Amino acid sequence: MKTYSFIGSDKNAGKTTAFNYVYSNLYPAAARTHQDICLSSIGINGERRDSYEYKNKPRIILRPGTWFLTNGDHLRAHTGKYAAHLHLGPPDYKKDYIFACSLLSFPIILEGPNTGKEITAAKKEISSILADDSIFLIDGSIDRQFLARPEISDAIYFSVLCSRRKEQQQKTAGFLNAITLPPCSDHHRRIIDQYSANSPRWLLLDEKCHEIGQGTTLVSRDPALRKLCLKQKDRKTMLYLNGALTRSLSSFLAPFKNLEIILDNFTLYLNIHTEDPGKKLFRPEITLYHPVRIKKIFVREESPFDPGLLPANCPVINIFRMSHEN
Amino acid sequence: MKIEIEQGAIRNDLHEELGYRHFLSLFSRKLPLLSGIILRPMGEKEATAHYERLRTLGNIFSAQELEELLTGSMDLPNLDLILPHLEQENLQQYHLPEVARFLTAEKKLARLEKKLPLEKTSVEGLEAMLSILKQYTTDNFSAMAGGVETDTIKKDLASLEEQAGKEIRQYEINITRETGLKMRFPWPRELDPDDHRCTAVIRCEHLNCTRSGEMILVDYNPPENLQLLEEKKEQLINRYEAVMADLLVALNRQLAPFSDSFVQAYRQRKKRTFYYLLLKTAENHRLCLPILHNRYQCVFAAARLPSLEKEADNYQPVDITLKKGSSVLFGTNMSGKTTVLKTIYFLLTLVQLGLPLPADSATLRFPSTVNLLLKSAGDLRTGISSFGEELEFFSRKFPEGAYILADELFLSTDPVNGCLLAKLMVKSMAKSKKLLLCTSHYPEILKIRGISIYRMADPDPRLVRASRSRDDLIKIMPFKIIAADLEERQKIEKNRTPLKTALLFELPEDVKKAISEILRDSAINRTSKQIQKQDNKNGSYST
Repeated sequence: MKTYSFIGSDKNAGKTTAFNYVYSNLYPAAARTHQDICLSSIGINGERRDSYEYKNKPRIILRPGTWFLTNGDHLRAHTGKYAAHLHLGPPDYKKDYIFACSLLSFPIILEGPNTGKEITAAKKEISSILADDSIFLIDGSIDRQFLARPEISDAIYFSVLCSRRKEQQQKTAGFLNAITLPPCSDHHRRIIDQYSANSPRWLLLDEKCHEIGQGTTLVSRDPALRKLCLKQKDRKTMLYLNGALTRSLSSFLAPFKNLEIILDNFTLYLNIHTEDPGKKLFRPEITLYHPVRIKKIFVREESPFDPGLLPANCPVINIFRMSHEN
Repeated sequence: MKIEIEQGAIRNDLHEELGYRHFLSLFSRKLPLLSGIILRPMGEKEATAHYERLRTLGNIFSAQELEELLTGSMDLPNLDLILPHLEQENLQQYHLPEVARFLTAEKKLARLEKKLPLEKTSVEGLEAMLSILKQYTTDNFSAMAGGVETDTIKKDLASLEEQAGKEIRQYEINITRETGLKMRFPWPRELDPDDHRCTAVIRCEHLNCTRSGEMILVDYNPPENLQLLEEKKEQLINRYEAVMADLLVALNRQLAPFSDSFVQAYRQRKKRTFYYLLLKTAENHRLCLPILHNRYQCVFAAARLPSLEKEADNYQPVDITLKKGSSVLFGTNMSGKTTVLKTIYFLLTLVQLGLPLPADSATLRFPSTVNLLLKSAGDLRTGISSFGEELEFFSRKFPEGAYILADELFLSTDPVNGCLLAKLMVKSMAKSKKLLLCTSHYPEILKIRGISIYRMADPDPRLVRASRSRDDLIKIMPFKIIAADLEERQKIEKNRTPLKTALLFELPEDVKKAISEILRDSAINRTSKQIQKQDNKNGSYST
C-alpha cells in the first residue's frame, strides 16, 4: 500500500482541492483494474463550511467502491451507503473510526486518526484488508505537518498558496525552502544507518565520519549537543538531527560555517521558515537523510509567483490554469 | 488492555518503588473487551465475595480451559460506547458489525463454559439478536440488506451516473467548440483577461464568468438536461436514505426487547473475562488467592516483592505471622527490615484491589485500612519535622482491624525519649484489636510482655568486610525472619554484630581498641554466665 499525503503551505492553499483532483484522476483507472483507493483525513475535511472562518470549503464526494476511514459520527446520515469492515476505537484510538467501502456516490466528511502513532497503527490494520497495490490518500491539515514524515507517507502532494500578503509569502518561501533541500550523500546515509539501532536524536561526526557524540534526548534541549558543537566549531563536522531544527537551535548553529546538518526529514526544518528581522545568516549546509518525495505541487495563484522557487524536475500544476509545468 | 490503579489508592512515593506497574503488566493481554481497567480498593464484603468467586471459577476450570476461554475472549469487542445507543434504540449501521462480533464470540464462549454457563434466558436473547442482525444486514453484517426497492434505486443511480457522464463529456465538448477553452467539469478555470479566448468565454451561455483578483474566474452554467439528471439523482438518494433510515428504526425496535438482557450479559462477560485473566495470570506467575477471615491475624508464606525478586540473586521471600496487637522486628542495618514492611504493604494493598498475590499462601483479615510510616526527613512545605510526622501518624484514629506498619519506631527523636515513646506505643497497641508491625533497635522493647518479636538473620561479618558496594552488601544478606523466643530475644539484646562489623573497617585505632575491649568484656560476661548456668544446673557454685 502506498500512502500519499496532502500538505500545504497555508490554510487555504488548496489541499482538499488537490486531494479531490488526484482522487478524480485515479478513480476511473482504479475502477477498471480493481485497484483499491482509500481516503482519509487528518483533522476534519469535506465540510461544506469551515467552522472557524465560515467560508465555503470543497466537498469530498466518494465514488462507489472507494474505501475510506472516518469518524463514525460522520456516517449517521449515510445509512446503507457503505459496508463497514473495521472499527478502530479506544483505547488505541481517541475516537471511533470506521473503515468502510462506499456502495454509492455520496458526499463525506473525512476525519481520520489525529496522531502519527494512530495513523501508523491504522495503516497497519487497513493494509491487511486492502490489496498490495492499493493507494491511501490522506487529506492534511496545516498544523499537522508530521503527516509528511517518511514513516507515515511514501510521498506528498504539496499545495502552495501564492498571495500578496507578506507574511504568507514568507511562509510559502519557507516551505519551498524545506522541500527543495537536497538529499545527503549516500556515504553519509550509510554512516548514519550504522547508528540506527540506537535511534539517536542527534549524531555528531568529524571529517572522517568518526563519532564525536550522540544523544537520545530532545535535540533542542540537549546541552551536550551544543557543548560539543562549540568545541568542534572550527573543524569540519557533520551533524545528523532527528528532531526539530528550532529557532533557537538554528540561531545557535547559524555561525558554524564548517558544519553540514543532515536533517532526518524536511518536516524538521519547518519550524524556522518564518523570517525574523535581524536573523543571522545561516552558514551551515543543510541536507536531508530522507529526500523529499513530491508527487506533484499544486499552485494556487492569488498573485504572481516566482517559479524558480519551486523544486526542479517536479511536476507543478495549477488546476485552474493548467499553465505551469516544470 | 491497560490496568491501572485508582489515583490515591497507593502512596505515590511507593508506586514506582514497589513496582506496581511491573506487577500489573503481568496481567497484560490483548483483550479489547477489557480496555482500560481501573482498580479501586474494595470493601470487605465485596472483596470476600470476589475472592470466593475466583476460587470457585479456579476450581471449575482447568488451566488449559482458562487459556481457551481467554483466547476466545480476544474476539470480544469493547461495546462500552455502543451500549447506550442500544439502550436508546439508536444503533447506527456502523455499530452493527461490532454487536454481531460480540454475539458470535459470545456464542463460542458459551460452548466452552458448559460447566458454568451464563443464565439461560440471556443466551436465548443473544441468539435472537444475532438472528435479527442477520435479517437486516448482509456481507457479514457490514452492509444493510435493503431489499427490492433499494436495489432498484442503486441500479437507477448507476444508470443516471452513466448518463450524466455522457452529458458532461458532451457539455465539455460544446464549451471547447464555442470558446476554444478546454474545461474539465466541475473544475473552474482562471483566465487571464488578455487571453484571446476571453471574449468567447464571456459570451458563452454554458459558462459563468466573474472577476477574481486580476483573473477571470470561469465557472459552469450546466445545461438543463444535466441539472435534471442531478435532480433525479437527488430524489433517488433522498428516497434511498428514507428507506434505509426506516430499516434502521425497525432494526432498533426489534432489538429493543433484548437490550436489557444484552447489557446484563455484556457486563457479566466483562467480569467473567477479568476473572479468567486473574486466574490464568495467577497460574502463570505463581500467585495465590488470599483466604480472608475475621480473626485478627495475618499469615504470609513466601510473600514476594516481584520488583525486588527479579533484581536480587539472593532474594528471600517473607514468611511472617502478624497477630492481634504488636509485633516488633529487630535486625541489623541493611538486613531487610524495611523491605519486609514494604513487602507486607504491597501485598495488603493488592488484597484491597482484589488481585492475586505473589506468595505461596496468604490467610488474613481483610485490610480495610493499611497504614505505613517510613523514615522521613520531614516536610519543608508543611514545616513539620519527621518526629512531628510520626506523632501525627500515631494520632490517627485507626479502626478495629487496621494494619499499621511503622519503620524504626520513634527513631525520629532523641534515643531516651524515643525509646520511651516506642515502648508506650507498643504496649498500647498490644492491647488493641489492630495489627501493628514495627521495626526497632530499642532493646527495652524486648522486655514487654504480650507482644511478638522477630529478628532478621545477621550476615557473616567477614562477608560484610569483603563487600565493596551496596549491591555487594545486598547480595550477602540472608533476608530471613526468625521468630524470637526467649533465647532469641537475649541474642538480640546481646547482639554485637554491628560492633564486629565496625572492626572490619578502617576506623581510628583508639576506637577500634575500645570496641575490642567491649567485645572482650561482653564475651567474658557471657562465658561466666554460661558457666554459672551450667553450675546451677549441676548444683555447684563457681566464680
